[in-house]
Amino acid sequence: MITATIDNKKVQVPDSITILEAARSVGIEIPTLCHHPLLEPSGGCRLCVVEIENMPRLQTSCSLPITNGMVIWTNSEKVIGARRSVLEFLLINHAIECPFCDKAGECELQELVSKYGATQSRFKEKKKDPIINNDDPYILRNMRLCILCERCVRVCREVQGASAISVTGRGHRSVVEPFSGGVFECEYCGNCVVVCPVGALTAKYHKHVYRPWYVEKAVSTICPQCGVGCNITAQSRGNSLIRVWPIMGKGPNKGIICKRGFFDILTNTQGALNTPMIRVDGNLKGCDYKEAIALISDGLKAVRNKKGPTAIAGIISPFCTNEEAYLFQKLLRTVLGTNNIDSMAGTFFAPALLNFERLLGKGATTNRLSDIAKADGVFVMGADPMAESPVLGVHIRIANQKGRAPIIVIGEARGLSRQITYKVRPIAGTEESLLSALVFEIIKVKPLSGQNPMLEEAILAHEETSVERAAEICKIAKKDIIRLIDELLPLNNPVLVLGKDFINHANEANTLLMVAALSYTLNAKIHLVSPYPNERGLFDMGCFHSVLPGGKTITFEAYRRQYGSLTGGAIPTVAGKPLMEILRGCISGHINALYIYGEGALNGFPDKALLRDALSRVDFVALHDSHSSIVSEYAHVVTPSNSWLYKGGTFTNIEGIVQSIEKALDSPLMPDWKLLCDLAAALGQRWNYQHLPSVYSEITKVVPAYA
Amino acid sequence: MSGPEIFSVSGCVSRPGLYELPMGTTLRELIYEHCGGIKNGRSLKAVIPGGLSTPILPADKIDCPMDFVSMPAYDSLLGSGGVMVFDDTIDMVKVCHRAMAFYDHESCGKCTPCREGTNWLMQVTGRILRGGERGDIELLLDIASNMAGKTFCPLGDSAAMVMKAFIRHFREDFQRKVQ
Repeated sequence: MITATIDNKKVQVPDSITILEAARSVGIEIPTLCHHPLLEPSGGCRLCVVEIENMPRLQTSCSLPITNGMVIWTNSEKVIGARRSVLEFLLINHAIECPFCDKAGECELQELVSKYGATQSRFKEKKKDPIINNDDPYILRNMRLCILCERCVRVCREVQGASAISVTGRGHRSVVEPFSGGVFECEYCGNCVVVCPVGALTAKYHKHVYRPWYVEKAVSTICPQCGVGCNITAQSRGNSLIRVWPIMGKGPNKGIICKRGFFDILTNTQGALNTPMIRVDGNLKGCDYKEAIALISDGLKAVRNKKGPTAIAGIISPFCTNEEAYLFQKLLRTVLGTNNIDSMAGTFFAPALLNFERLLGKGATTNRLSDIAKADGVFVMGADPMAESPVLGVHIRIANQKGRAPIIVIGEARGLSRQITYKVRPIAGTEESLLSALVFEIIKVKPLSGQNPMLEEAILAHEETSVERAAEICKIAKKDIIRLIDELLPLNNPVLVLGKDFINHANEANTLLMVAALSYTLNAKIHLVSPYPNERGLFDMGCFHSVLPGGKTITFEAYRRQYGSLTGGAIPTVAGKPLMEILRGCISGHINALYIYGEGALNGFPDKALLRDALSRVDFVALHDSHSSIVSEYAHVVTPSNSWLYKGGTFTNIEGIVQSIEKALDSPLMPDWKLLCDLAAALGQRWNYQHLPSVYSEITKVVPAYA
Repeated sequence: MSGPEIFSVSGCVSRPGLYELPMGTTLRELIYEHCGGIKNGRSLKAVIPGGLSTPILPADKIDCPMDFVSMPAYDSLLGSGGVMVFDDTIDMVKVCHRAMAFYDHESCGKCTPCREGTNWLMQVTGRILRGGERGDIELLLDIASNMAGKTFCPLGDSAAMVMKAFIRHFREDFQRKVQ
């Protein structure tokens, strides 16, 4: 701690912070424009200047570290005069379009001018007349409003790691321009729009729809577009979403956003389905909830009575909240008596989670995203992080850009193509051999430590693949594998980023064992990439054939009894079937009823032909979804589901953090959790949940980690 | 202050060129003895003593010794030793406008006062050349004061300093245009 004097006030502040941070920490406001909490100091706008004793010139407080004994004035006549003159300079070439500028009302320049600026212009010359570009599909660029704070350029370079835009030209002829020319053709992460203090960069989607005073309701909620769980504000008017904005400094995204969360999200609102429907003479016809619920319960009961409970299977969507997921598996397990529960998470996320927790211990995959940025090497396997979990991908880029961490990729990671240090592409399905070669080569240099005897035993029991053999199996050059080993060996603090492309095949358990072995030998933290908002939540809630809520293995009787007594129901002893087996079971006649629950539960399922075959053969399909899909073509009963905007609840992100989503808009539909309660009642079990929090409080009892 | 200094003399002198002379040589000696005086027998109007970024000096201040210590006393700087000599046929406002055009072109655009200020100074001096408006001279001084000491690097400072020197020494020339 150091002592300094700011505006005649003695203050105690930590050293190694700037004057601006020090002043703000004690409640003294200094206006800024080019400064932004996400970015390195620039010192270009000259608005934050302060007077410092024994310094001949005014100094920019955003860039100057405070030192012991410094005497600072933030409000002297000289300082205020400088601020006013800076604002006058800025307005020279800033078109005064406030009445029809979309930024008016939340424009930082407008606010500063009304607070500090002059009321009359002395500038009588012609303003410069640079580019206005409306050709881009997402971003409108009006350089007549640009004040060249360079926040957009810096966020693109420092935070997003894309460097897609730059200041071109010099002096007052400077303009911000994408490298690709007129249109951006970048990743469209939208961060430049988010940080622009004026209306120079705005989103086309907000034009004519969003003005700050149009916002009638704003709730802070969680983005449902991937597993990162970015914290956002959903702004709405007239019960429709008009804009989504990240919340500065909050959540795993800390104020940044991606294309999916900023632009695409505006199309992910309430679906087309708005009434329950039943199939009459081959066509879906509208009905009321009572009729639909009765039909679902009758259909499921009929199958249970005829073929037994194991002929029923439930598939839940990874877009469902924890509350819905908990109730769904409770319905299937304790009411219908089947463990056949799975989801799209069953294709990668859940088995990966299960295996790593078993092999490496609890919490093996609940690592913070910020760890990635600090890593000294990133090993990406079977994922395109910039596409599947973009904010996670941004952290990888930062590790590369700021920490010079090599990025090593197995498979394809198009979004990182400019950063990749080394990439190999084994043919699909042979990853296990490649990993085996890597693990056994690494063990030769870094012997097993003995810390985890169970895992070491499993590793040594696995067949060793030589480098030559692996090269042959994977159809890659031997030197590629040797190079991979050379890249991996020197790393002290690496991370493994694992995605779904890696284990979409039969030798899932062995591949995961080898990933775990690699993580163990390299002391690497594992991050799982997820394109869905709640894959981890589904697993934690027990929406997986082999686990109960809390990740407890279903085969242990003690867990079954414990869970049964907590929920007041008995857990079936017959193990459940995973997703692929459920669908194959539909074809072979072992599964006769499907309950598919939640938004787009099977939209990501790759084998559409298999899906159609399964759906056409099964006796009874009940669907709860927001949009029509392949499943709705075959469903006997369809109930409409609410999308994320229309409901409350919690999501668990890929780091394992439980975050609340807030109801942003009103929905005429029955709440999704309520529908499950009504269905349970129709099936003969009465649940006493008054509201959503009462469901969560039961979850906290069953899954202590969620308390 | 001792040792030699190379002066690069250009403009309205009989023998422009490079002159290596001891530090402290006066401008008068440089112009009249070494460079052969003003061309075509005209009289001296002003001198920029050390490159464009040093404040201009009027004809009555050429007894200053050209070294780093003495020049500030004459409200100018030694700079690079690039001496520019102007005779009485030359329009000081035009010179000033040309200087401002230079700064406008040179400004990198990073910081606000320099990016906007240099261009504004150029535009206002240009307007004065075309007749100007009442208050333009005060405006120029004000813009220059708003830039001085507030820019990221010394380029903006130089523009302001040079602008102020032109008005300090040749205010009448500016005023004549404005009226």
